[in-house]
Amino acid sequence: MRIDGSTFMLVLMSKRASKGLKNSAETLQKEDVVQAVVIVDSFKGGFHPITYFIPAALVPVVNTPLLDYTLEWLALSSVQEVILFCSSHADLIKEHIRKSKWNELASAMVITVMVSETCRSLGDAMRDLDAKAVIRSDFILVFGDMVGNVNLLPILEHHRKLQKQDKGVVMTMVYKEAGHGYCSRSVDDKAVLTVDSSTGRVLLHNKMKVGTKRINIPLETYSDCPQVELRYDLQDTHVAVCSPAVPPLFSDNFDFQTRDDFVRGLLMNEEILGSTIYWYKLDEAQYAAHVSNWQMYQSVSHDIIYRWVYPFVPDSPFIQDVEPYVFLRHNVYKQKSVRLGKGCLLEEDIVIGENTSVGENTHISHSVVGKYCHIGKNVTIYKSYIWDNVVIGDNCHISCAVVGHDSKLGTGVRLCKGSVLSPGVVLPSDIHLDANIVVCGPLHRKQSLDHDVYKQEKLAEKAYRLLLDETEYDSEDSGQAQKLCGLWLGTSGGDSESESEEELSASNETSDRASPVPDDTYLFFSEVMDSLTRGYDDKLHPDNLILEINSSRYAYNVSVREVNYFVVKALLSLPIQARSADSAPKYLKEFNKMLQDFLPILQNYVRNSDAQHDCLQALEDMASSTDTLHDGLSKLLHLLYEKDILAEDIIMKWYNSGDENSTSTALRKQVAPFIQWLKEADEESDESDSD
Amino acid sequence: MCVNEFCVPRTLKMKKKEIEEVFGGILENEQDVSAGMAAIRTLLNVLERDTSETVQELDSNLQAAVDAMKNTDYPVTAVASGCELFLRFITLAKLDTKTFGECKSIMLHRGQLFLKKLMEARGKVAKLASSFIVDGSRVLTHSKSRVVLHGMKEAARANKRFEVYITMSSPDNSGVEMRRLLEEENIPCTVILDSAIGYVMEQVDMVMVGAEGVVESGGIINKVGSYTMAVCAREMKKPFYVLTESFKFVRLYPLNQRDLPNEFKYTSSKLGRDLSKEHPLVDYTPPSYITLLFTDLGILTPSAVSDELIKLYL
Amino acid sequence: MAKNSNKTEENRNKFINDIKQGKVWGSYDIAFNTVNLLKDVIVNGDWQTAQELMVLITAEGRKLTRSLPMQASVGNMVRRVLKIIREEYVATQQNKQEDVDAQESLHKIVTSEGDVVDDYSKLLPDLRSSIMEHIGEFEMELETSADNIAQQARQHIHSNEIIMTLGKSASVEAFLKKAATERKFEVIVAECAPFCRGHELAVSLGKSKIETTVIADSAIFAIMSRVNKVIIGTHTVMANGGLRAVCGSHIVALAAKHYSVPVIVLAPMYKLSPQYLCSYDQDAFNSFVSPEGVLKYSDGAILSKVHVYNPVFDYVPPELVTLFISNTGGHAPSYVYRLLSELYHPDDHDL
Repeated sequence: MRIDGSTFMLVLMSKRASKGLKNSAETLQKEDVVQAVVIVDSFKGGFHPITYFIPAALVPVVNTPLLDYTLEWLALSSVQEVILFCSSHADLIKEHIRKSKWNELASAMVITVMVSETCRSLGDAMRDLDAKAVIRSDFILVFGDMVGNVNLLPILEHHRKLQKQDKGVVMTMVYKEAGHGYCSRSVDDKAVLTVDSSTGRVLLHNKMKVGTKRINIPLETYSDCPQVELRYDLQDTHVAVCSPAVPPLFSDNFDFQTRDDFVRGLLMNEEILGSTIYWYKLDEAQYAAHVSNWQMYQSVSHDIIYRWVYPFVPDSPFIQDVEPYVFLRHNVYKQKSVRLGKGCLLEEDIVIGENTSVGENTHISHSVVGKYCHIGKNVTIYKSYIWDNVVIGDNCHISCAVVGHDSKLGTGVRLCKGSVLSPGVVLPSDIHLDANIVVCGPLHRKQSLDHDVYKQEKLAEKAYRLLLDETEYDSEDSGQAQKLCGLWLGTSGGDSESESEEELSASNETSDRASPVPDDTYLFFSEVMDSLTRGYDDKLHPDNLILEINSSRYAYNVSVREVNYFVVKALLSLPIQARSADSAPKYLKEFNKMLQDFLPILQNYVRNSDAQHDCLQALEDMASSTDTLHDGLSKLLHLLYEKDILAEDIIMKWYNSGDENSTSTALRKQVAPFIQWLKEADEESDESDSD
Repeated sequence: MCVNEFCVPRTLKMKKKEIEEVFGGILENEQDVSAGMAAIRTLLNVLERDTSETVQELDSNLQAAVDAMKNTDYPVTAVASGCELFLRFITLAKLDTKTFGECKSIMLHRGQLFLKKLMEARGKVAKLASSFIVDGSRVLTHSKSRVVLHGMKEAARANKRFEVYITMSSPDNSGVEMRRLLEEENIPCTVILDSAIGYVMEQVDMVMVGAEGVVESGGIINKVGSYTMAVCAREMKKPFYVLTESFKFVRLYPLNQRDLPNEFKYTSSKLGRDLSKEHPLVDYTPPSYITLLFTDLGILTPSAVSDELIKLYL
Repeated sequence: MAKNSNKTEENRNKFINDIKQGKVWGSYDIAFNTVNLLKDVIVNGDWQTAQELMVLITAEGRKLTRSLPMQASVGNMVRRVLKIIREEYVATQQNKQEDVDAQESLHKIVTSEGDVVDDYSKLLPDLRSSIMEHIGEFEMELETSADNIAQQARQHIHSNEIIMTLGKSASVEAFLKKAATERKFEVIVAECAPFCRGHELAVSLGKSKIETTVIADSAIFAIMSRVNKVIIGTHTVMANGGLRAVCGSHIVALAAKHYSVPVIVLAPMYKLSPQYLCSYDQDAFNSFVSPEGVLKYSDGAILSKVHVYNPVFDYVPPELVTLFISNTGGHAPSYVYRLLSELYHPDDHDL
């Protein structure tokens, strides 16, 4: 099975031929072979930085690597040909496949491994596939880290039936209903799906980014379909049945990087591309989930232990060489060779692998322990995931943590609240870790991908604690480690988690890293910023700048009010960005200087009361997010008032119409003295007028 | 018969003493050997040293030896069943050889074979029984039984964690001895009063006892108190398991407690006195209270026992 | 030879996958296919003496039971075939049709002449053909077992009786339909949630013009006073006469005991297993499937706070069963040990 690139086609042919010789009675049509494409790397970096050491697909969930779940699931669905697409750690994956039962001649499923080191996203993978032209008919697209028990053949049939009715069907996405309050949906997967109830066609797909509470649904969606469903209770299983037109679509549009790009691109340009997407809802008894980050890891482990993924439960072996677990009361799964010490308590929801020995008076609950582990005496393990070959010393206290393969913990170690230990870590005794990621060796610069920078603190010879740089706007990863804790503390856990993320990301609104969202307004904004920065540096004439901004506006089809809003915002951010003014007085100085040059621009855009409202809105937004503006807000308002950009009544109206939330009240308190002065000035001018 | 009695009273008396000594010696020196096994070994010993010339003489000598053993103060039930089987065994052989010497050597050979098979019996029973003791179970047992001890040792060796409750079992308090032996194997155990059986029964998962004899109906004869335990277990719906070797099958069919022969219930020294003032040593548990019997012939239901005995004796 | 073993492995894997994917379903089909698989091993396997063959078959059986611990009929068929091999060996060797009783018995211990451990290693030329013949007869017996049971229907069901049953058992269905051709009676079917297969049985019986009523499981006790007989099927018959039957059977049996209603269990011989129930937590006794039938996944908040179990099987102790009807006739539960000794050799009890 060690095939890559060019030799692939040849080997595939011969395999087909040899199978043909064996089954001469069966005429195997090429089109009838059910194909599945498994993208082994999900490119989401959810398990970062553990993925430096092992690929995400070999992360063990309940003591079985995720790739095994995926392959076994495909075998259950009678898939005959699987194309595994690897990008990182390809050799480990190949080794794993070689040792597995899929490599035997008797296996009904043929696995082909394709490697591409330069692949960085789903889009790249699909383009690669398109180039190699291995897809012949409708295929099933999954990732390498999925768990499910659905028979995919009926979904494939459904897709084919749809194709007969609607020639443009390219993809059928599979979703599962997940109730509210149960954290089975990944935080970065939440989306509102707008579908046509009668045909199942997907009309809109709005990703609910963290903190967004509103979506916009254009009226055209309702005009074509009599019945429209809006669903927010769906768990995206990341399984899709695609037609052979999908890889070419990726090749044609180079900005399709992730599946979300693809979906959005297709939905926006339906008339141009002529392709439609449908959705398929899984039955109650069917389960499918994508383990992309630690939150999903926890959720899926829970589901497996609670047997939602029957028949892929630990006590029914699907890897034939492994002794099955014994299923005892309270969801305790134990291998027969486990040695338990005296007084040891296995409370509930536990999986313990083979040949593990647990010391005396140890208390384990809600955890998964791998094989060949050695757990000492008086250890407490709670809601943790301990992988294989781990040695845990006496008197340790592990809660809400993940301990990678081959790790050694000394005595008295405390791991709390979402700590993650990579494989091979050796922790000395009496260390207390709180929500930290620890790796076993110093991370080399070239290993870390360009957008992640970690500060490494050496704890011991083989233990380096990773801390995120403060200036880095990438807050998502620290959020990942924190997400391990308290997810099951009831429904409040879900809300508090989103709130904490709001605080984390609120300060970093300007930089959106999750997946590059080619939001038009955002692009427009950045272009305006660029123009202004350039204009300021090169001392361009404001009229030329206005021209530039207007042309950008038409290119991105931005509405007038949005133009006003963004231009003001850009102007306000200019001193921060271009001149790095980080304190209020410095900012005001810079702003003043800049305003002298750019006043015509402001006057051009902020002409009527609506525009002034937009201007104030921009001010408010910027002020609530940037501290420097926050402090200098009253002075700014004063400045703009002096320059006759803003009128008093508009300012008063804005002041009185503030929202109830804390930020706006704080703001208004800030500007209260100015408003006071304004009122008095008003009265004075009125008096003077009346005089 | 009369001839024997008159002819060799002295030698017989001596032999009787010797037999008692041998029998008693085995039982005292080897704690691990049960009364039945000791009896069989004694008989084998007698067979080896016997100097009779005819089959009938041999037979009567052996019978006398059995009587001698029954007269000692050790429990009689196992002795009776084991000896009967032994005698049947050796006499069932084809004895149509020319000389008596050859006959005797054949019998000796078969005797040793029989003994060997029976020594393995306990291991087989223990293996069967240990699979029924699951991790985390609580077992109630009565008095000291070597087979049950062996079974629990097997289970402990298989890394199962279980707890044992043992009755004190007066008048000889053999339960305490059982506790000592179990604690050597690191098995947590508690000794309870005989009267506390009803109290403890709700907490235990199963009852496991040995047996001194298994009767034709499928019931057992065991240390007094077993019947009470069985009744209590049935009421609380706990399984009642009996661990025994197959040579303890007895040709008896008691219908109630009084049907048991007195020689089983009281030691020989007490038999002469007024029995209404004596306490019986054993009682009879009817088959309806027994869930399963673990023997070296396999796991049997009580109804299968009678089948076995029929096969043997018909 | 290696090719043969590969083919065997392929067949075995395909068989296991078919069962796991649900393509082969139902004890009879599984048993039948197991016998076919074993026939393949006998025909194509590499063996000379009976002992080698038994080693092959035991190894095959072990792999099958490891992968399919719930399917007792697979193990039963393997044991049956082993017993057939032993019988044929002894018969061929001694050249007469002897009724070989291999059960360990006291008599055996007492009368054995030295170490007569027959290790079946003598080379016998006709062994293969005689084994295949015997297996052919056995297959015929398997095929006709359902019919044989149904033939006994008219002896057990009388006119104007009310019969209660549970879930959907193929044996019970055939039994009732056969009786309906001669007698007129009523059937009450408990639906057996959450799989609710009782509904299917009711529809099928209704089509055969049998008056059927479907009741919920909670109504079993209430209706039991009016019932004359309870007839249920089972998945496996344990060695002590107890049953491993569909979840809900224990309830029916207890209710029947309370009202002194006879409980008749229809069980063809291939369902007889030499295993005992050691404890209710015994591995591979009960299978817990997805809790979907009990609590929906979309119920959300409750899922993380509550343990949900959905067992497939139930244990019914032998005291609650009145009669077993198998293809060889009716038997009392206490007689099961005897049937076991006729079907299987004690050495094969633990594969």
